[in-house]
Parts: sequence; structure tokens; C-alpha cells
Amino acid sequence: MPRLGVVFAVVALLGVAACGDDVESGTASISIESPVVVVPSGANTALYMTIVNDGDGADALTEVRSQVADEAQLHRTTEGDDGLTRMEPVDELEVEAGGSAVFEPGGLHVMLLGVDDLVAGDQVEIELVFAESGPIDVQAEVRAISDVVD
Amino acid sequence: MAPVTATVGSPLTRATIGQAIRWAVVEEELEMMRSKRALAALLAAITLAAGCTSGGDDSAADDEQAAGDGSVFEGVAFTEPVPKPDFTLTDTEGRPYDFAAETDGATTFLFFGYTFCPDICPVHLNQLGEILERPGAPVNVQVVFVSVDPDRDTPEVIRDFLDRFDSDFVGLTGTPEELAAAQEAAGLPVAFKETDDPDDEQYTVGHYAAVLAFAPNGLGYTQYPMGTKQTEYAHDLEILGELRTVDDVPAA
Repeated sequence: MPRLGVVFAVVALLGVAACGDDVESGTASISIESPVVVVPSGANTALYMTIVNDGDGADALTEVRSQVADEAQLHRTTEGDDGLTRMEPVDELEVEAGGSAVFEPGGLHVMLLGVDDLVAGDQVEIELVFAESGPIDVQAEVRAISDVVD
Repeated sequence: MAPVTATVGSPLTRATIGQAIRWAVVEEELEMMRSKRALAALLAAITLAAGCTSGGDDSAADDEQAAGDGSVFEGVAFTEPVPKPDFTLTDTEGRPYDFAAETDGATTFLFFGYTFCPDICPVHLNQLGEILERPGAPVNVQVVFVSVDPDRDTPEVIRDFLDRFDSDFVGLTGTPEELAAAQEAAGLPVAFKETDDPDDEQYTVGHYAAVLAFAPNGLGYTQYPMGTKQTEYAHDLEILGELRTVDDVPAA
């Protein structure tokens, strides 16, 4: 089976070459700064944080999971031309190499739907799933809104 | 339950249309204010980066904003004072609440939102709650929250939500028609349920996101978009409280 062996070798080389390309285009290095969950005042609440990508490749946040909520959705609050402000779902949030994404009131946030009755000081496990870096677990502190905005 | 009416097709209609036009002008101002904020933040960042801390603090940025706005208010001032909207909805005890009559003579903050809103609504209400709890805060102030999500926000849900901020806050609801009329009376675009699916229980609602402020003389002078600071509310609260007759002029 020498021929097949050659094919395998070529495929293997191509594979390595492909990996080499990936390395050249850079690897993302994601860290999560100051993750905060606001004390819920109703059925839902928000998670704010800053995603920092210190790597030299882009990455994207694709999903957020948490045991303390029925569902977690990525949203951006935006004001439309009609004068109404709404939360637009964000399917995938790209964080470019060397860039960051700031989640803050009135902008990007993770909406936690059907959230548990959390109190200030609680620690909440959040799983952030990235396209390149995979799942990243963070511990967010539950804080009063007044600690989050002036 | 007592019959509840919202004023529709009343002599207010003309005024309402005029008001809507003025709000539109206000929208432009609001945009300018945002740009100014961004510029102030940028300048502050540059100042900090230069290792110079004087002048980079918030108060300097605020002063600049107030001056640039051309009004004594730190909120986004209306081009001219507007009458308090006339509408009657239902409060969280199930009683009819005539907005203009019930808030007569009080500094009044009016906000249209919904309790499932996680991002903007709790921020405004929390800020108002905090400034009103400060020692020496004026007592003749009423905060009125109108839920624009009648399907999910029952009176009980609204009450629980508001009690998180201040049990004195008034919560109102009504039929979709009554709520639409109330928003139109206030010159605002009518909130919109962002779903076509009747089984969707996790929908969001597009709504006007600024808080409207009326003085004890019954006139509205300013509004507070998302991003307003507590200090800005507190600053304007003092000025609004002094406007007891329609002839009073806002003074810093």
C-alpha cells in the first residue's frame, strides 16, 4: 500500500501546513474583566463585563450559559430612528486581536432571563463560549445597580 | 374595577401634535448631548493619559455640558416647556389614577418602561430612588412608572418591581389602547412588543427610554436619557422644585 501511504503523508503535511497558517494568523487570548451581575429587580437582569483579547487572532463570543437563569442572551441596547429604544439580539460578538468589548448599561449586556432571586454579594458561575478559545468559566459577583452606574 | 379612561381625541390633540414635533427637536439635542458626552470623555481620557489630573474630573465635564446645552438643566432641556399630559390609567391597587390631577403641585418624573427590561429601566428607577433617599432631598416629588407591557406586567408584578427601588413610586397599567393614548398624550412614540409569536413569553419591548420631568407648576422642562448620572438628576431636582407657577423661570 505504498501509494496510500503517500496520500496519508500528503494529507498529514497539508494538515500541518493548515495549522501553520492558523498560527500565522494568530491566536486569540481572551480574559474577562470585572464580570458583574446586577441584583435582579424583576424576572430578568443583566451581566456586564469587559472582554479583552490580548492575543494576535480574533475571537467571537457565541454563547453564554448560567445555572442561575433559564436562558442567557447576548443583547445590545440601541435607539432606533423611531425614537424607541430596544434590545437587539447579538448572534456572535467578535473581539478583534488586541481589542476589547465593553458590556455596560445602555449598550452591550448579557440578559439573564428567568433569573434566580440573587442578592448582593452572591457569586454566580457564568460560562462564556468563544468560537476559538472555547468555553471560559468566570465567576461574577452580584452587585446593586448603584455599584454599577453613577 | 372602576371604569378607566384615557384621553383620546380630546381638545388636547392639537397640543399633542405640537408636543410631538417638539420632542422630535429634542431628539436632535439629545444626539448632540451624547456627542458632547463622548467628547468630554475623550478629553478626560487624553488629560489622564497626559498625566494631568486637574480638569479631567466629572464636574468639569458636567459644567461644560450644562453650559453647552444653553439651559440651566443638566438633563436634556425641551425647546420650550410642555404641558403635563392628560391621561388616566390604573395604579397597582387597581384604582384609577389621573396623572395630571394626582401629581398636581409636585415635581414629577414620568417614565414608560417594563419590568422584564434588564438594562435601562432599573437604572433610571434606581437613580431616582437613590437621590430621593438622600438626606435633605425634596419631599414634594412623585415618580410615576407606566408599564408598556400589559401582557406580563400585572399590578402585582409592577408593585414588586417598584418596591425594589422605592415603595412610594407609583406604578400604572392599562389596556393597550389606554397605554398607547397615554404615550401619545405625552408626545412620545408608542412602545412596541418585539415579537410576532403569540407563544413567545420572553419577548422584549421597544420603548421611549428617557425619563420626563415636570415641575410643580405642571410644565415639563427636561428629560433624562440613558447615561444620565445621579448628580445630574439631583442638580435639576432643585431647580424644578422652585418652579411653582407658570411664570417662574428656571434659575440655576
